[in-house]
Amino acid sequence: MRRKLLVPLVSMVTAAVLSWPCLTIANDSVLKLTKDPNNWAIWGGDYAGTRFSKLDQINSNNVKDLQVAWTFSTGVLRGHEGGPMVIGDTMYVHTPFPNKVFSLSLADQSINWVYEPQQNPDTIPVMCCDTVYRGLAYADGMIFLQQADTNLVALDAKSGKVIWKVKNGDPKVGSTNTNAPVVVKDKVLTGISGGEFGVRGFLAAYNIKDGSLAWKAYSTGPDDEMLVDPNKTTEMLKPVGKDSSLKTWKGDQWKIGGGTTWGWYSYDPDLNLVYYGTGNPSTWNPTVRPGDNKWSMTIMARDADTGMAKWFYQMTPHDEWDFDGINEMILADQMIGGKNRKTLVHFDRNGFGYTMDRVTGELLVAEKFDPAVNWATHVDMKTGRPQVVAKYSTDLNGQDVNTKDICPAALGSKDQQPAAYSPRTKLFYVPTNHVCMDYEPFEVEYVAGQPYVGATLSMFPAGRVTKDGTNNLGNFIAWDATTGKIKWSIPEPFSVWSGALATAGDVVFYGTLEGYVKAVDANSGKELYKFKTPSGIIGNLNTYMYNGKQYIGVLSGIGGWAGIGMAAGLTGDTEGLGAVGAYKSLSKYTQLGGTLTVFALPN
Amino acid sequence: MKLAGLTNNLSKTGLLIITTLLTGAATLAFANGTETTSSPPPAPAPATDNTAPYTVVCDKSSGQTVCNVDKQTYIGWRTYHAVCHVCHAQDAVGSSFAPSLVERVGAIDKERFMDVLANGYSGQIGVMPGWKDNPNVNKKYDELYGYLKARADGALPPGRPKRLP
Repeated sequence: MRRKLLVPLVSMVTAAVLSWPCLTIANDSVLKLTKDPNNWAIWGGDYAGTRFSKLDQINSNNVKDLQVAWTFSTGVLRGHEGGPMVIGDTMYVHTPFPNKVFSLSLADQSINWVYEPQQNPDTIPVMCCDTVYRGLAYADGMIFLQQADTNLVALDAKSGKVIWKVKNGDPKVGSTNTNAPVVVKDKVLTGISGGEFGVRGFLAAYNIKDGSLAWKAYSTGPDDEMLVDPNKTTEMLKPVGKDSSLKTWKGDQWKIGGGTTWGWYSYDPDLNLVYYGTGNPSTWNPTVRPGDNKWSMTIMARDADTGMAKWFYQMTPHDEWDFDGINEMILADQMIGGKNRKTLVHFDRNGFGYTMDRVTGELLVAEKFDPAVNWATHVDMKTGRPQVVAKYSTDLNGQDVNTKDICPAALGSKDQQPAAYSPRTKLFYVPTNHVCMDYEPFEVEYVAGQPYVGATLSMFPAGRVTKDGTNNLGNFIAWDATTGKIKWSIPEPFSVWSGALATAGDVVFYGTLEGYVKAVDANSGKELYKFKTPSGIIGNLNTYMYNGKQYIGVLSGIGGWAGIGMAAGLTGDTEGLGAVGAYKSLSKYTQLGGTLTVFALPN
Repeated sequence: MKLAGLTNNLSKTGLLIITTLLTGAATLAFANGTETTSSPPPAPAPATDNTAPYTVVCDKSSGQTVCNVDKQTYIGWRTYHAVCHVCHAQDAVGSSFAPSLVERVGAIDKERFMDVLANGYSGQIGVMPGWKDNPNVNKKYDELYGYLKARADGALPPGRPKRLP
């Protein structure tokens, strides 16, 4: 009797003892690696997503001498988002579908190993807007690969061998993955794509030791499935109350209501909170889904251990324009109104730059980061709600009516391409789109695994609406998030679809769709260097140091939504639109092909 | 004098516009590609195997071309820009991973078009899904064909067409 009782007890204790050190090590491994500026060990350079590097060997004086140190072809043609990851003497490079992973030796640029998963090509057509993939995660000697077909795979970082694999969704119902996972403590976090297929969004945490599910928090639905405590989870500092999501949908529309989570995830180790945003409600036809459609289009803060929601903030209640809220959350401590605040800064698709208190979810600043934004006049700071302009409301204008000249377009004043923050200049460097649209919603039927869109749209340069004589489709801006003001703005002919990098050398880097890597002065925005890589850049710039030398790395390879929108702005006649005719299409400037380009100063 | 100058200018883009200005009549670009002017517009030509599956009426009098299309072509435009444009891009001009249908649809026959639309296609770079199970598309094959043929034939310029009354 006694003995029988003892066995499970002992095994439980053993399990606890075994898992305990593991838990601490996992946390420390990522924290330690990201604190060492020689590495680029996570998508944002650090858990806070600042994309800032303390390296200063390359600085605003010598960046003009930058040269290409080496290059590497991925052999994959479609859009290359995300960026290379560097741990010690090894670089890990990922590709879009088929999601290859290369381990490269920094000593001689030879390939240590290649992993190419076998995935059903039926996954490809279920992916909206190209087969992009935004990157890998590393922890405890493992590489985490989030495949397009939703399989999350742990690879041995030394050998590339599969340690475990878990299925996170089902492409047959339209769910796929494009996001970079993030490892927090003993769990790896990942989300889901498929907002255009009526997929119900969630964030999932898997145990890194075996891939078992630790927790899963849906964006919509009953409180328990969203991991919401009606009395403790807050929005605008007030408890959200019971059934906060269910009350904002007609019937059970929330089941196919989107709120997917395909963006970036940040983490504050001191608060133990994970931050991310949710995507558009399905369908794009707002007239058929009355209500605020919570919690689509929302910034979420969750406990990393349990997934329980600390606070939410819905930026675009009842979306009428496809302004997904999934863009990165940058965690920075800033002086606001004479007080040092732990802030979260987010540049939303809807064109507003938000500064929040990341401890409490208090809204501190909400201002337009592109002056062209016209769908709302401002955000009411008491209620947190955007004040929608009636003539740009596709819901008010109704089904089968074309609502014209809405700014920004569906691809947002900024899409997923992550911004950077320099604690030296206290500025955010933001790659933006400067595109407007006409939008016409109409009725569609839902069928699992089939696109569920319900609107048609045309996009064109914002200058056509602002009538200021401009034709540029993008800007690269410096932003003061304490006041919500643009410090400087560099016009770019095409959308800036590349993630930015800021360094302690007071240089800021970004890429362009024509394929240029550009370096600008962090204070003035003055261009200091540019180089044309083999293809258009939708990837993110990173930096690392190896053998005492600082390198800058970037993936080029045109594609993504930017690749589809390459001809945006060319609708109708070119008469009266000045230089628009000169843009023709991006294919005049660049062609397909994934290449890594690595830069350094001459010896 | 002024009117003469205007007439000269306009005649470069076709006599049809003058008629539009003077009489308010529309100009029809018929399926066979010929442009005719009349007031009032004649009844549409009866559909035969030789006529393309669309009617496009373009008016250049405002300085920008505004095109009106029949209901079927309009529905085709709208369906295309809800579903197909995520790969083949706005106005069917093609993207980095899906071909321009302005070029492709002109190069294949209707039978082939309908087959690919229903059953999909695997190309060198991309994979196109078959649409036979999607109720938002599978009832609109003819509409899509009409719109894309109008684009491929050069009868319909890029942009949002208006719907003929």
